[in-house]
Amino acid sequence: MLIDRKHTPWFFVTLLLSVATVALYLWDAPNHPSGPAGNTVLGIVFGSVALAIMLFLVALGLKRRVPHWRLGSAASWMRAHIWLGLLTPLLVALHGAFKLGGTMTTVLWLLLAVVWLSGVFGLLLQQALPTMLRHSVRQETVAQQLGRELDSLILLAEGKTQTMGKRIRVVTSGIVQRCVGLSLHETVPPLEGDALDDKAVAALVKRNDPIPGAEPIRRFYLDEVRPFLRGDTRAKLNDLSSSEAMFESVRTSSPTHLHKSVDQLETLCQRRRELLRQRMLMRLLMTWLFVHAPLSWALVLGSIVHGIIALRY
Amino acid sequence: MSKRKVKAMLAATLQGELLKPDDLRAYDIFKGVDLAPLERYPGTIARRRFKAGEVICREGEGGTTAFYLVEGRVRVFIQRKLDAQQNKNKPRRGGIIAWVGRMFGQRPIRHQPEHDADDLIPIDATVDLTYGRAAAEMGPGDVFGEMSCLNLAPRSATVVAETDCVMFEILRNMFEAMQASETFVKRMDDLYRERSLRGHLRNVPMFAEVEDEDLERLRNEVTLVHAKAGDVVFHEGDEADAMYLIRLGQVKVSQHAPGGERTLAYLTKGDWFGETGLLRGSTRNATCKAVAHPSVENVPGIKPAPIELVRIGHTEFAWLIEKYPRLRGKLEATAELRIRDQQRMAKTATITESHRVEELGLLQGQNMMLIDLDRCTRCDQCVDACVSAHDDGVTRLIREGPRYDKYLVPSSCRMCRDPVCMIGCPVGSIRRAEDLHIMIEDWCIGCEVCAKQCPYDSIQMHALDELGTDLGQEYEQLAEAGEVRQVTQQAAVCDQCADLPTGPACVYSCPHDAALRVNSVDFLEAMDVMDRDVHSGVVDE
Repeated sequence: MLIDRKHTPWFFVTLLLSVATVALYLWDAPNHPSGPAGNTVLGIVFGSVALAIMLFLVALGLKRRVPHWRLGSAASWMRAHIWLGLLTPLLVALHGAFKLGGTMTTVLWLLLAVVWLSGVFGLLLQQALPTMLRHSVRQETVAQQLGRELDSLILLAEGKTQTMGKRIRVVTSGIVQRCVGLSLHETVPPLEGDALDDKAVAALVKRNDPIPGAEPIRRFYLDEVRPFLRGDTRAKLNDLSSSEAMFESVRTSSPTHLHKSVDQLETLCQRRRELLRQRMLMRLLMTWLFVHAPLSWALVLGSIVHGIIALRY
Repeated sequence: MSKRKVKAMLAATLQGELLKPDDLRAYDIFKGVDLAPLERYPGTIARRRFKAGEVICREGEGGTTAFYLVEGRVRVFIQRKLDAQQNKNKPRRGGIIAWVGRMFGQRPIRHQPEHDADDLIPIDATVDLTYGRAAAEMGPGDVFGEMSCLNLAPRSATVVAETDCVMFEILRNMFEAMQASETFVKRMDDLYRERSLRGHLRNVPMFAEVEDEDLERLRNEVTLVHAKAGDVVFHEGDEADAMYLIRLGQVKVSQHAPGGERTLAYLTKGDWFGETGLLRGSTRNATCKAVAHPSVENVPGIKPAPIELVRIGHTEFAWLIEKYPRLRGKLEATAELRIRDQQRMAKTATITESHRVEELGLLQGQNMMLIDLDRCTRCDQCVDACVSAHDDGVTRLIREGPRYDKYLVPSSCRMCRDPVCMIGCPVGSIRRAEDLHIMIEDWCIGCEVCAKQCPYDSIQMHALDELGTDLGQEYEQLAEAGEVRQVTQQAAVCDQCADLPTGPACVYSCPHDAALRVNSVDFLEAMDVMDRDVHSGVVDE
């Protein structure tokens, strides 16, 4: 969530609560000769409030499961989640009088630290990554379609084929076929899947008369574009500036009438880079939650156990 | 529809016994009809014989012929989601959370409105179906498939022979020739007046309380009007002299607006218009024009089907109002509502000169969904909320679409000023609600006409697992034998969560304030500002 003007009231409320609780703590401290602690009245109040806030914070995850229930808008919940979450460590620190305590409370402190830091990390990511995603990926796709979209690029390049016994039938022709004249109508060994494998492409390339001037493009496609579109992480085309230089070089060495196809291949490569970038940024935007959410529940459960034990014994 | 597809459809050949002019002259329906086209194009009419239980045509399938029933009886029906009573044994979804929610009154939207049993479901036949019983019978002299034949529209219903039947199956060129014959037209008019008009009049809410004998008088006194696609029934500003009921085809209602015409609605079979001007004794406040079906619009060589209207003249109208004073109150209320809607729509008439806005169709949107991409974390909570908010569990929102500056315009209904999706529905199941949102009734036959018509991919087709008909066991036998095609999908469109007090669930559940539903007046004004900024290089487009 972007921190904007809508957060101003929450900022002041949190600030006020922080000042008030610290003042309360300082006012109460002299009343305890052995120093403030979690078992004093105020200590218990701080602890209880912190636990109540934690319960509210994890309730956000539950609310997401019933998004249309009339429990307040998700954005209001999120604002409360952020600011009350920021306040919690202070309340816990005041509750424990800035001491780690025994093993259990130390573990709880550790959990709180990881949850708090992961939350802040997530919040920071949300300030920058959405804009970055918008600028670097011109046409995003939904997460569930990313894999399919990446797979479709090679089909756009090579066309879609279907095995019919010993023959391969062209369902749609691809950029490469149109450009370098790879005719797929000849008899080739049956293949699995939609796109052609290396062996079949090599066989086809050998078999067909090359279109005049298309040889540099054909070689470039087989050596560079194809491995990249098939997911080779070491391919030079992964890098934008290398890609631009390589495509420029192919354009220089091929006749003008084939440049349109080169441009189309470059667009495919650019699209792949963008989709990969989208996947990376979207993972970044979400992965922190895999730490934040489960540890939040562990923290809440641990805090409840701690509370029961402390009050009972 | 592509030219090639239209050509292929028209090249269909008939099965059965192909007839010559001499075979037809003995039949009343062909008396006075110029049968010369049959000489020129032999094989355009065939005599078909169907055994009891045989399926003649299936809803949703493409069709290019009309049928004239000579002997026997047929049953016509559509599949649809049956009412709650019949689905009462269906386990409720959602588990314990949904159960707790229901305890506290948190219910998903019933995605279709309630209906009275008498509400009309228009189909392409000389009879109509009702919501209470979506099945009817037809006998000798009835015609069905007229719209499929003339407009190449999908079949609106399934027709099954109830007894052994004989019928004429007629291709388009012959049917057109028949329509050119005054005798044929008069016969069809008489048939309509005799069999369907009464039901249509009764279906108009304001005539619901009119006594039978008065309705009978009205039935005899109304005029049946035939118009060509493109004909204007009346212009905005004309003197109001009649109200109209649509018998066949579609009518576009539009108003002048700054910068162009604004479409208020597309009305279809069973709808009525023109009552406001009559009631108030004022001039027309909108233009009503007959429109062609989208399948044949602008297809060279294809003449769109005529539009048929029932005209209730000023005298009959005044007589009714005088005899039923309560009618005036009802009409006033309806007129008030329509005027209010028109005024509200007029507010959206902000015109922008931005080509980009036009290109993206933003100008069309009266209530657009936008996603601020600088805020959106792509968590898909909006989509999940949409699914969760509707009792059919289908999303009306796909988080993909064009961008304008930092906004994504996702695939979700934008309540277009000109809702072209409403043109051509063979069963009239798509319409505009009073609050302007587009809704699809549960008798949708899944033909996809609306989804294909929507320029913004905002109508989704979703698979169905449970449909029924009012035919019960009879239908089940046909379905088991594979004789009737199961309707496997229906259209779904964003209803703006009109029934939820929280407003659209997508907006309500976005944790990042990224999802917006914007009033088009406000937003397009902002767009204009932004557009100027784009041209001056302030923001990137």
